Amino acid sequence: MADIRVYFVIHADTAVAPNENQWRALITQVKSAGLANTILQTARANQNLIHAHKRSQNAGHLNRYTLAVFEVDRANSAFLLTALDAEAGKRGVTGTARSKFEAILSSEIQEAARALGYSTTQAAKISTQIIAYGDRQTSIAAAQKYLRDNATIWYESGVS
Amino acid sequence: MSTVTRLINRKRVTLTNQLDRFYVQQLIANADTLQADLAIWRPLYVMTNLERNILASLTEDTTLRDVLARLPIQLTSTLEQSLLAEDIAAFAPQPEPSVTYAEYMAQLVDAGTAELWYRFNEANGDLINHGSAGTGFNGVVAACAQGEEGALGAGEAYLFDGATSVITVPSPDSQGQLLVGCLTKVLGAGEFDRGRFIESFASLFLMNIEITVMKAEKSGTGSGVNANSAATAFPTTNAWAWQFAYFDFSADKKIYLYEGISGSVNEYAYSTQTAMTWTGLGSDSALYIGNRSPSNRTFDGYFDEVFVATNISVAEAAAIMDAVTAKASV
Repeated sequence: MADIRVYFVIHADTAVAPNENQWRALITQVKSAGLANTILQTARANQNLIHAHKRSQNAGHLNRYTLAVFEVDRANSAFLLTALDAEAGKRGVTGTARSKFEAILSSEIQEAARALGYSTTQAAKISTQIIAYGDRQTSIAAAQKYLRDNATIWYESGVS
Repeated sequence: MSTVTRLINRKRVTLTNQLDRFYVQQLIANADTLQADLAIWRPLYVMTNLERNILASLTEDTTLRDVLARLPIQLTSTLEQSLLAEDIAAFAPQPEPSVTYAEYMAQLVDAGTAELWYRFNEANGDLINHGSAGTGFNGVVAACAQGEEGALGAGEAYLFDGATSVITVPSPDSQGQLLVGCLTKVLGAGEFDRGRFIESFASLFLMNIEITVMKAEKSGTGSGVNANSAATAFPTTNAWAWQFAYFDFSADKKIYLYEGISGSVNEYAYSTQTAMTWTGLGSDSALYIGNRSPSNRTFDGYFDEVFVATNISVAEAAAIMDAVTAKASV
C-alpha cells in the first residue's frame, strides 16, 4: 500500500521569482539530482505520484512558491531512507529524516538553479520546506491546513 | 417487418374463417391508423353484433394487440384461439436486454452522445482514458492517488487530495446542451472550501462545491451574465453519489443540479438559479477535473466516473441520469 506522502514547498525570493517556464526548467533540472532522482525513481517504480505543478497565486507572491508532493510505498520507504542517509553523509547533513530531506532538497534545487545560469547569490534565495510528512491521510490533512493557514500566499484576492 | 405484418404472414391466422381472416387482414393493413379506421369499421354490415360490441368498447388507448387479443379470438374456435394467442405472445414486444453500466455508457459514447467518459480505472501512469478503450480524448493526470477503492470496483477510483491534484482533459466540442455527471465520494469542501468537480479554463462550465452549497456556473460570449445555480444543500459526504448538472442554451439557459444516490435522482433546491444572458456559447480548449486552472481549487475526495453528454434534450438527460444512477448503483 502506497502510503508515505510528503508535501514540500519550494520558495523563491522576489529577486529570483521564476516564471512558469523557468519553474518547469528548474524542476526538470533537479530531477537528475541525487536524492530528487531517487525519490522520482522510487515513486515511479511503485506507480505512485510525484508532481510539482502548483504555484502561488496571490498577486504579492505570484509564482514565488511551488507546492510539490510525492508518495511511495511504505514497504519501500527503507530503500528511500537508505538513499537519504547516503546523500546526507556526502553532504554532512545530520538530524531527523525530515530535516535531511529538507536540507538536501534545498541544496539540490540550488544546484539545479546554478546549472541553469542563476548566480550563487540568486540560487541561495531558493529554498525548500517540508510542510507535511507521514502517512497519506495525516499528510493530506497537514497540507490542507498549511494552505488554509497561508491563504494570503496561495490564493488570489477576491474569492470565487 | 412489423409485428402485425409478421402475424398475418403466419399461416396460423388462415385457420380462421373467411370473414375473420378478412377482418384481421384489414386490421393489419390499417394498423398505423387503427383508431381513425374504427369509425369506418363500425358500420360494416358484415360484422356480427359481437364484433360491433367489441369495437364499440375500444378506446383511444386500445392498442392493436388488444384488438387482436380480443376480437378474433372471440370468433374463432378453441383451437384457433389457442394458436392465435400463441402468435400474439410470440410477437409481443420483448423487454430490452439488460445492459450493464459500462455497456450503457459505451453505447452513449458510440452514439456520440457522451463526448467524454472517464472511468478512472488506470492503476498508474499520467494518462486517463476516455471511453472503454481510450481515444484521442485522453486526459493528463497530476498528483492523484490511482488504483483506489471505487464505487464500481476495487482499483477503479482516484483520490484527490484537496491540495494539488488535477486532471486535464479536452473540452467537449458542443456546449449548447450539456449534461455533466460525476460519480464521487466527497470527503470535504476541498481547497479553500471551494473544491471543483470540473471547470473549464475560462469557466465556460464548472461545477464546484463550496462549504455550504453545491454550485454550478456557465459563461458565454458576447455580452450578458452567467448562468449561475447554487443549491441550498451540500452534496452528500463520505458516501458515493452522482452529481449532475444540466444546461440547455436553446431552452431557459438555466443550470439544473441533481444528486443521484440510493438508486434515485433528486433535484437540489436552489438559493439562486440565474439564467444566462450571453448571446453566444464560446468554446474552450481544456477542462479540469477535480480542480481548475491554476490548480488552486482542488477537490477533496474520490472520483470513480465522469462523463459529459452533449446535444441532448432535458428528457434525454433525465433518462441518462436515471439510468446511470440505477446501473451504477450507489
